Formats: sequence, structure tokens, C-alpha cells
Amino acid sequence: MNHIYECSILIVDDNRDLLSMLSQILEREGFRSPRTAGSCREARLALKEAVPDFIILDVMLPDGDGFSLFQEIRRTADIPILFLSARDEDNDRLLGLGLGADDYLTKPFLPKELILRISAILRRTYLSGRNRPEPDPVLVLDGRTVRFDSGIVSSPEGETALTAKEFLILKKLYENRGKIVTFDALCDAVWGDGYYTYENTLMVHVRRLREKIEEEPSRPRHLLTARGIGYRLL
Amino acid sequence: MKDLLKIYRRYILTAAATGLLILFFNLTLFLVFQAVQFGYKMVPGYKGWNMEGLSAMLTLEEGTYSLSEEGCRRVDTEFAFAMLIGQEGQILWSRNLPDDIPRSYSLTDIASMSRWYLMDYPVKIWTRPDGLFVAAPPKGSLWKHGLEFNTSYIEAFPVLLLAFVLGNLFLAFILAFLFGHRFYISLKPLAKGIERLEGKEILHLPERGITASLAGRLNRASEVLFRQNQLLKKRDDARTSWIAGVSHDIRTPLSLIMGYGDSLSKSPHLSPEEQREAFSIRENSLQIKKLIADLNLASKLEYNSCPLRLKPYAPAALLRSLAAWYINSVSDSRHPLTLDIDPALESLTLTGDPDLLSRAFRNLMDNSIRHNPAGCILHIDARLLSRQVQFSFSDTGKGIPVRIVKTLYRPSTASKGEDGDNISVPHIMGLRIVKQIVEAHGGTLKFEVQKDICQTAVILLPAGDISPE
Repeated sequence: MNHIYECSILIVDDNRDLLSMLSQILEREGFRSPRTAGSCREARLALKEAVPDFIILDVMLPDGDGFSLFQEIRRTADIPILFLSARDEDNDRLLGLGLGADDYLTKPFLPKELILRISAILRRTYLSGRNRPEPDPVLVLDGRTVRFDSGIVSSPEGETALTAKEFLILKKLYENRGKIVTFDALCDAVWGDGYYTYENTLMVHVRRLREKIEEEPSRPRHLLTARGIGYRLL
Repeated sequence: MKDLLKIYRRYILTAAATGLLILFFNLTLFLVFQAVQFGYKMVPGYKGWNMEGLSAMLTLEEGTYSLSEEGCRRVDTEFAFAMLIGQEGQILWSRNLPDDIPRSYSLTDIASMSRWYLMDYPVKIWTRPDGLFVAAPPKGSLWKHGLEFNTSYIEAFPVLLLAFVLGNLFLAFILAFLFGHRFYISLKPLAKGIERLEGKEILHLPERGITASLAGRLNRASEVLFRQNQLLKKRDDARTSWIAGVSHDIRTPLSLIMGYGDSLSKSPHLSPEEQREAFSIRENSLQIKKLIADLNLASKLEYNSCPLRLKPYAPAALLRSLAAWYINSVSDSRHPLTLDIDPALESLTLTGDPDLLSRAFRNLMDNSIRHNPAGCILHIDARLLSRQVQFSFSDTGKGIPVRIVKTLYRPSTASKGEDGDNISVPHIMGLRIVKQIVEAHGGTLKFEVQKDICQTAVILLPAGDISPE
């Protein structure tokens, strides 16, 4: 399989209109025409006919429940399955995910969200390690380069090594680049603890990190402070 | 049971105080009586039966006894008769002497009358050199009784009196204690029953003793309460299930509306105007989706069928995470956010449902954005008060009208304003959920009002379960 759009998809839902709409959405997004089933019985027949690459499964079906059908399917084939249900209770979601479902989306939903979730699951399942884009291990900031594999910051003046804590802080910020990462999330990532008692320590580490990655550490352009909230890497 | 012990203690103290009061009252009455008697005797003109004076009025002149005019008047008015008995026992002088009174007396007669009576007359005697002056008050006017005490008894009398008073007090206290204890024992099952009544249990208190009637009534009241609670719970469950059911059933059709609305809004076959209309269908479907979720949550919180997932959380971290989420995902340049957290909050951990609290906080922030499309500055402030944590959410926008806040605090869930105008459900639903979540955490939601507008919502959560790290 070279592309997720080549995957065969089976949709199981008791509402024929919804089946039709989902088929249209998937086709419009470029997926192969999906097969549909309106009950557990129809789903079993479809599975006997051909095992799909992905299943969208409703929880409440006229002749059984989706959770039981899920377990039945998983006993014979390890197919990625997304629950699409009107049941929005936490318990239902936790049960579905706890059984091993790849995702649980509650109705009503935006088509775009469904497509994004399906694409993510299919990429993770079938294209992992091949077409999946690896995160860039190198961070380039105004002539300075940070290599995450070695923890070295290169600049025209030379190379500087990041300390372990600086490395963890920068990695966390890099993983959430453009977004504010709270002091608490940073302390958790670096020390596995809350922010309390680490306030000054975190500030000192960020200051040293700025000295290594910023042109003018006193007027940072990349590692910015969100006052009272956290830091953001631009 | 604490209350019962309090009643018991008060009962004993009251009984002891009553005993003391009665004793004090009697003592006072006795002293007052004595004082009155003493005062009466001190009044000028009081003569009583002054034998010495009367005797002195009887004089012997030239071998004949004569009583002064005053003496005669006194004998006639105060006494039945008077006489002077000579050394030999014969009567030397007399006035108004009845016929049945002997005319001569032996030593035995003298000894007897001096202590007791003479022919039922309570006679009084005064010794004179020439004999005994005897004056007899009318029969029945005096009660005579001989008193004899050991000298040692009289000497010990003050101590005995004190012992008597203390003994009485002690006895009163012991009796009060015993009766109080008996009362306490009989009330104990009732008190336990009332405590269990709070737990909505059916009571089966023993119906005997002095509290039999009360116990019976409590038993029956508990049955009535239990049945009422069952009915209320049944009704609440039915209402919650109904709302959950309706919201469930509406989800699939709404998925179709949202899905097709979304498709049509991007369809190249439609005109821009039609696309805009389709987009409106999609956006309003999203709004309905949110409303359904709110309605479900509000109903569950209202009827306590949404148990809080309690866990320790740091309020400062929760607010920072909320602020980061807002700036990362929601905020635009028109709605900047500032956050101010009291440093004292950093070390504190509360117990609560952080997901639900975040939901409440987000609702308040959503309100600021939705009702101020032109822009406003949002500010969140968190302070540690003496026993509470205070979260303030304010904005520089148009604020919440007071009538909406009043509607929120009205017990009825009716959505009519005071002046009869309709306050649309979306306005109230979000705030109602905030209020319910805060109250489920034992806190309060307040609004600071200035010129009929509320620009600050204040959430106070109890800090009782705060544990400094």
C-alpha cells in the first residue's frame, strides 16, 4: 500500500442516510468507495466477503451492540476500528477505547474532523516507517542550528552543547512549536514534578538556553515568555 | 448525639441551679421574716407582754397593792387576768381573776405553770422580792413548748447547718443527675433516629417508655420521607434519562444536517449566497451540538446524576493550562488575555474535578468572546483568601446584564426575564452550568455589579481541603 486512499473501508451504522453521507464524504476526499452495513448481521457478511482495511463502527445497532461486534471482529482480524456513536458518555468512550479501538468520535461531527482522524489512523497503521514524515531533528534559528540528536548548538562563533535540562526544555518547546507551553508542562517534562519550587530553576535554565540559541538573549526573538503562563518557541 | 449530651448537661446544671435558687429564696425569706419581726419589736409603742414593766406598775403602799392606771388598762386589754402570788403560795393581789383559778399554789403548781399552762392559760411569770407576778394572756393566744439541747450540739450547730445545706445540695445534684441520665437514655434512640433521618433511612425505633409516642411518630415520618425521596429520585432519574435520550436521538439527524451543510457550503455548484446559507446551517448545527451537550450536563448536575471525578489538582497549574489553551486555540488579536495568579496559590493543591472546573472557566471565557465580537481584554485573577480560593474572570466588554444574573439565581428554571422578556436559553445555559459546577464543588458564583452591568464573575471555592505541599 502506497497511500491511505487505497484502503478499503467498511461503515457499519443503522442509519441509511448517514451511511450514504459518509460514503459521499469519503469518496469526495479521495478514498475508495466504501462498503456499508446496516446491522451486525450485514457487517458479518461483509467481513466474510472481504476483510476491509478500516472499519467505522456505530455502537447501537438494531441486532446487537458495536462493542460486542468489535470484540468479535478483533478475535479474527486486527483491523483498525473507529467508533462513531451518538453515545457521548465518558463511560462509553472509555469502554470503546479500553477495548482497543483506535478512536472514538461522537455524533454529531464535522466531516473534516472525521477525515483527519481516519487519515491519522490509517497512516499510523499502514504507512508507519515508510511515508510518515519524521520530525525534523534540526532546529534552525537565525543562523544558529540546534541538532536534537547530539544536543549541539552551532553558530558562526562555534559550537555549544546543551545541558540535559536545557535539551529537555527546548525539545518540549520544539514539539509544541508556535504554541505556549505552560511552566507546569515544562517542569513536568524536565523534572517530572509541578512548577512549585522550580520557578527560579526553570527561569535560570531558560535564560541560559536563550544565551545559547538567541542572537540577543536580553531581547529574545524565538524563545518568548508568555507572562504568567509559560514559554513559546517561534 | 452531641446535641443530646448538650441537653443533658444543661438539664443537670439547670436542676442544680434551681435547687440553689430555692435554697437561697428560703434563706432570704427566713432572714426577711426575722428582720421584720425584729423591726416590729423596735417600733415605739410596742409593748408585747412586757412582764417586767407590768410588774413594776404593781406597787405596795401602806400594806395594800395597787396597780397603776396604765397597768390596769394593759391587764384589761392584753391579759385575761393578773395576780401576785406570795412566798407562801397565797394570792396577794389579783385583777380579773376567774373563779375557776385556784387561790393558793404549791411549789409543784408553780413549777408546772411556769413551764406550761395554768388551767389552759399560757401564763407569764415575773419574779419579784415579794413573790411571783403572774399575768395570763387569753387562752389559745400562746403556744408554749420546752426546748432542751446539748451544749455540744449548740456549739456544733453552725457546722451542722452547713453540712445540712451541702448535703441537700448534693442530694439535689445526685437526683438531677439520675433523673437526667434516665431522660438521656430514653432520648438517645430518638436522637440517633433523627440523625439517621438525615441519611433518608427508614427508622424502626422501639416504641416503648416515655418516648413511645415520639418514637412512633418519627418512625412514621421517616417512612413518609423515604417514600417522598424515592418518588423524587424516580422523577429526577426519569427527567435526566429523558433528556439524555432526546439528546442521543437528535445526534444522528444532526450529523446529517452538519455533514450535508458542510458539503454544500463547499459545493462548487452553488452560488456564493447559497454556500453562505449552507455554512450558516453548519454553524448553527454546531451551536445545537453544543447546546445538547450543555443541556445534558446541566440536567445531570441539577439532579446529581453526574458524580464528580474528584482528584487533587493545582489551581495555579489549571489556570495556566486554561490560559495556554485559550491563547493557542481560541484567542485572536481582538481578545487578548492576561493572567494574574497569587504566588500563595502555587504551593496549594485542591481536591475537585479539574475537567468540570475547566469547563466552567471556559464557559465564562466563551461568554466574553461571544458577546464582544468587536473585542475586549480578558483578565483572570486568582487569590488565596483565608478559607477560600477566589477566581475572578473579568473583561472590558459590555458585561452581563443584571437581569440575566437575576434569572440565573431565580429558583425556577423559567427563562422569562423580570419584565417578561425572553432571555434566550444559550445565554443562561452556559452560566447555569458554571453555577452548577461551582456549587457541586461546594463553592459559590458571584457577580460584581456596576451600573446594572456585571463585568466580573467571581468563583469562590472552599479551601478547607487544601493541602500545602
